[in-house]
Amino acid sequence: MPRNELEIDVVQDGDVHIVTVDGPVDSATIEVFKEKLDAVCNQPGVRVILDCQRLTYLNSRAIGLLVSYHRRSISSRGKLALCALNPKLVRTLELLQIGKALLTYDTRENARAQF
Amino acid sequence: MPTGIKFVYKIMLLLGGCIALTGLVIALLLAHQSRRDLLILEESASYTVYQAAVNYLTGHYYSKRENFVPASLNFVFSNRFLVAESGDQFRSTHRPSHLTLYRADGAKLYDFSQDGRPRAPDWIVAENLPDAIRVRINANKDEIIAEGPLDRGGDVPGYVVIRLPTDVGARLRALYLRAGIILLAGMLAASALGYFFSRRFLAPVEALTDAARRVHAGDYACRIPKVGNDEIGLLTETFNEMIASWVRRLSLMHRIQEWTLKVGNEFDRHRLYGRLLDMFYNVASARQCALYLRDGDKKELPPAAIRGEETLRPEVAGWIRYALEKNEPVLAERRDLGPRAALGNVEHLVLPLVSGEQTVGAVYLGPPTGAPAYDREMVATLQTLAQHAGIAVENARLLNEVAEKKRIEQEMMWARDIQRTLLPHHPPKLNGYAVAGLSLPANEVGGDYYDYIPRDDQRCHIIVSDVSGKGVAAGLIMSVLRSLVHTYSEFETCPHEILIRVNRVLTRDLDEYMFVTATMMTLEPDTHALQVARAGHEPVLIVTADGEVQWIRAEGTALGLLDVDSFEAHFTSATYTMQPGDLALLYTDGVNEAQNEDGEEFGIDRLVALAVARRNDPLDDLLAGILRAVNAFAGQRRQQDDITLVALRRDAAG
Repeated sequence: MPRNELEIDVVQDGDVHIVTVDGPVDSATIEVFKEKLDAVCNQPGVRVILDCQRLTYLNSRAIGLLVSYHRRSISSRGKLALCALNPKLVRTLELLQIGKALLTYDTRENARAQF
Repeated sequence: MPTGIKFVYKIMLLLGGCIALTGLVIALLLAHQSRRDLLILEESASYTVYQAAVNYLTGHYYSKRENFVPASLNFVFSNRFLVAESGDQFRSTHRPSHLTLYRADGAKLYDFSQDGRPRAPDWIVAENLPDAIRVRINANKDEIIAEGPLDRGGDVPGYVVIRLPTDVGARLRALYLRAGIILLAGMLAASALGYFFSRRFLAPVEALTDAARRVHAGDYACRIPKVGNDEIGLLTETFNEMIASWVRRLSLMHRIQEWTLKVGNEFDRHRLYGRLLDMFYNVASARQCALYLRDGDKKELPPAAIRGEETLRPEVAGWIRYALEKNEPVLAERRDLGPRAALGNVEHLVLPLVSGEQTVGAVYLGPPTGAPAYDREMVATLQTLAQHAGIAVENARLLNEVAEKKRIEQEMMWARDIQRTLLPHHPPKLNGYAVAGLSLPANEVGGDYYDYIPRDDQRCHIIVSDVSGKGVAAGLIMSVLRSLVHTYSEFETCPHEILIRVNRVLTRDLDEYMFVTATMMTLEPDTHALQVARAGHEPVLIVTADGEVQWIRAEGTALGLLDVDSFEAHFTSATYTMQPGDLALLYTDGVNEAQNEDGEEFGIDRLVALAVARRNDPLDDLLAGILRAVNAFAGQRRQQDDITLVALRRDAAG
């Protein structure tokens, strides 16, 4: 059974914040997701890698949030990237055609190497 | 009511009995003493007669040469023996009625009788001969018998037996009769006195009994006049106070019942608060009363309503905070009441209003009018009222919530009906084509939208879109989207251009976290060209007449998601030419992402397989079949997302 709790862990690796998301981001957990991500991504010029290896579901509002953080990072010369996306999420991002806007990497190491 | 012997009669009987018993004992003692005295007197007299007789007989014996002469003896005993002379009259006392002489051997020697009928026995057996004087009274107590030797020294041989008449028996009977009469009179007098004094002393008790009966019958106005300062007087006073207190309590209970009914029949929250406050204000006769209602975790609460004086003491806020946090009453007491404090000395009261384990509010009661403090009974009553009030407040809140929920549900139903009117009621008639669609929102109001917009130039725009999120917000965006699409469809023939214009508006107006995915296609029935634009939505599924599957994947991100330039830079369109029997299927992700209880998705493959298998069915049947399959797959799991399907098929004959 997929787990219903969401755990978000933030660690700093040099000047990069690595945010690990564990669980689903749905209507029940979106507020927790937003609160944690706001605290990190709303800092001007922040560089963030979102590790989605254990992210089981991302609802449309969360996708909107990610795009919003992405816009802010661009305007403040920061950087936001997603890594280790599961196939379903890859398909969703492809469907929305935002793969070109959001930076995505297959692994956290690759993402870190590009930062 | 059972009636036994009245208390007054019991007292009377008891007193009479006691007096009678005492009288009886005294009478018996007196009678005994009198009898003894009488007997002693009689015995003394008979002893004297005996001695006199012995002396005379002894003298006679010696004077007659040691012999007894009966004639001489008769003369003496009949006429001269113990006769006292007094003037001309003679009075004889204690003259023996009988006198008998016996020889030493017990043989009768001489027998005298006043009535001339001697009856003494002729012999006395030796063992019965007295060796000293013996005095006794016969059984009828009318004769004293004195007997003994003539001379204890034996110089004068023989014995004498004297019988004296006596009235001691009659006197004793008279004595007993008098004693009995006196005893009876005493008993009667005692009973009468007992009755009198019992009536007098027990009159207040009877009055109490009567008053208790009247109170029992409902006459609460009756009081007993106080009689004296003894225990009865105290009892009377206590009884009156008890009735007064009872009447006060009864009145209070009636008032409470009246208010409880008023409160119980009030379901409007604000009117209920007013009534609760009125209830406390009136029952407690408080100078001031204020109601506070919990508002989430707020620490500082303003009073919801006040009765009486408007200005509250500064301490009240702290008391209220304490009562709400600790769920305990606050009783501010007076210290200057002296002995009156024993009845209760609470001057200010804050009572928490509790429902279950939840404190829903508190009520403050200022000092009472007409009394220096609340007594214990009133404090207990107010605490009971607070319990009722807590439940009433919570019930009203729950009722209000239910009403609010019903109102929202009703509004949602209206919104759903309105939204349904925004969807097409009938598919347009397209030359050589059939078209059909359906939409099933997950909630009352959904974010999915589909539409057919036929143009005058025979073209027809067909759109399927999905607003991010669900519910009312998505539904509102859906209606905005519909207006935009209809507006731009009037002027633009190409779906690509329409969605670009729609995106410009949505990007500006949408919340930054919201976006809309859409696939729009425009059919030119004459040329069979199907132009497709796709904004981050599912691609168009084409199933040919042969069952071959193709996807039309034009490029484009969701509407309102990126900035306008980024959107337009990557937004393209594609064109497909519909062949006879070709089926074009549009859907939202509510179809392919529908999940069963195991979390498994319905998936694209099942959708494609169904579309291929039923490609020649009437379109309504095809769409209904897909919906049935999705529902069957989801099983008991609730529909998670809005489901929308639109199918366009070119006639096979065309």
